[in-house]
Amino acid sequence: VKKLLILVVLLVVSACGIKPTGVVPAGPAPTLRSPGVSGRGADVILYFVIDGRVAPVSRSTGTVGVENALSLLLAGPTPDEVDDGYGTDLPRQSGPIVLSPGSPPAITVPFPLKPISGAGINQLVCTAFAALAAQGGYSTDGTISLSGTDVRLPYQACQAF
Amino acid sequence: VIRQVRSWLAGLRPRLVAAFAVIMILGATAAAGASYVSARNAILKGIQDQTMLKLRDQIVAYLPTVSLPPSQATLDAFASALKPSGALVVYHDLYSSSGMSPDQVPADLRQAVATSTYTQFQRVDAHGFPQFYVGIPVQTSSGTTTGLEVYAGASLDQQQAAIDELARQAWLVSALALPFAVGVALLAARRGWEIGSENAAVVADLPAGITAALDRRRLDIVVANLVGNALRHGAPPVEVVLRAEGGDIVLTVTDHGPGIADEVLPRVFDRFAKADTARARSEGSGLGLSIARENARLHGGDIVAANTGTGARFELRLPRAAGIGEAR
Repeated sequence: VKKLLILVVLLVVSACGIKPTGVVPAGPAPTLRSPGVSGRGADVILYFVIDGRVAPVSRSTGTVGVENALSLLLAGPTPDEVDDGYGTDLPRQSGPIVLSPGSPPAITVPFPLKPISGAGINQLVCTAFAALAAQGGYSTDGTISLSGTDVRLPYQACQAF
Repeated sequence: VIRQVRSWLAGLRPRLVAAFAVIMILGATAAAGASYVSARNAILKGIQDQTMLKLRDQIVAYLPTVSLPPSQATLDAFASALKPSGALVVYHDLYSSSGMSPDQVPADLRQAVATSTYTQFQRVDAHGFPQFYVGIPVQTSSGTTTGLEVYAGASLDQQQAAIDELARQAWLVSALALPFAVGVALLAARRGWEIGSENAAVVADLPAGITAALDRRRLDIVVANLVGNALRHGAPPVEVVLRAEGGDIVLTVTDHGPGIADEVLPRVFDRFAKADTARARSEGSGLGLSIARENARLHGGDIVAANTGTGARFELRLPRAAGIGEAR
C-alpha cells in the first residue's frame, strides 16, 4: 500500500508544471530560391499587402531588373492575386523608376512618398531587395535609400509582415 | 488513543465512509487532473505554435530579399526584420549581433537544426524558468541545408503562471469533493442503520442474552416469513419482540392492520390459504406461513396466530435446548 501511495504521489507531482522536452521536429523548413544557391533564374518576387502585412508573391516571368520589378509592383496585383486576398498600398502610377547603384543603392520613384503608408514603403523596399538579391547584387549594409517627388528616405530596410 | 482509533476504524461505518470518500476523491481528482492536463497542453501548444508560425511566416516573407552568402550586415538586417521575436540569425560562423547570442540556444537544438531541413523546437528549464526555443533552418529548393538558421526564444513564465493557477484550481476541486464525499458517505451509512427507529416499518425489541440452540437458517426462514406476511397483509409498524418464557423462547410478530378474518383464522397456516379471496392472484404464494410453521415444528416448537384487536399477532415458540431432530 505504501509503495502504491508513493507511486500515485509521484504520478500526480510529475504531471504538474511545464516539463522540458527533447528536440521536437515541427514541419519543413522554408526554402530559399535565389541564384546564389540554385544557379538558375528565380521568379520575380513582388510584395503585396495581405491581412495588413506585407507578403511576397511569386510571378513566373523570369528574373527582371529592379526597375521592371518595381514597375510590375506599381501595376498592382493581378485579378488572381486579388482573389487570393492581396492588395496594394501604392498608387497605380506609371513613370520612370531609376536605380542608382551605390552604397546604399538609391531608388527614385515618380510620386510623392509622404502619403504612402508604412506597408506601402515596405512593398517598395522589399520588392527592390528581392530583385537585387535575385540579381546577386545585394546591398551590403541591408538598406537602400528611397526617393520620391517630395522626400528622400535613406536607410530603408525590408520589414516584411 | 491509537487503540481507540483502531477499533473505531475497524467498524463497518467508518470503513464505508472512508471507502466512499476515497472513491469520490479519486474520481474528482482524476477528472480535475485530466482537464488540467489537457488545458495545460492547450496553453503550451498555443504559445509554441504561435511563436513558430509567426517566425516562419516572417522568414518566408523576408527570404526573397536574401542572397547567399550573406554579409554580417545582411544577417543583422534579417535579425532586425524579425525583431518582434528577438531572433538570432546564424550563417556558419557568422551570426547577427543584436538579440540572442548563439550560446543561449540549447546545444541539442543547434545540432538538430544544423543537420536537418525541419523546424525544430525544444522546451528547457533555465534555473526554474521554463523557456521555449525554436530553430528554423533554411533549405535550398533541392532540399539541402543552406547553413542559414534562425532561432528565437520565448519565456513561458506567463504560461507557467496560468498553468499553476490551473493546478491550484484542480487541487481545489479535489479538496472540495472531500466534505461532499464524507457527507454522502455518512448519509449512506446512516441509511443502513435506520431500521429500528420510530418511523421504520419494523420495530424490533430483541434483548441480548436470550439464547437457544437452533438452526439459524431455519429461524431466518420463519422470521422472514412472519415479518413478510405482516408487512404484506397488515400495516406498519410491525413489532418483533423476543422474550424468554421458562424453557422456551417466544418471538411475537405483531402488525397494526385489519387483523385476520374469523373464517380465515382456523386455516391461516394451511397451504394456499389466502386471506383475501378477491386478491387470489396476489404476490404471496400462500405457502409462507405453512413453511414457517413446518420449520418451527421441526425444532419442536410451534406458531400460533391471533388477533389483538388492532392487528394480527403471530407467536413463535421454540424450546431453548431442544434437539433439532432431523434438521441436523
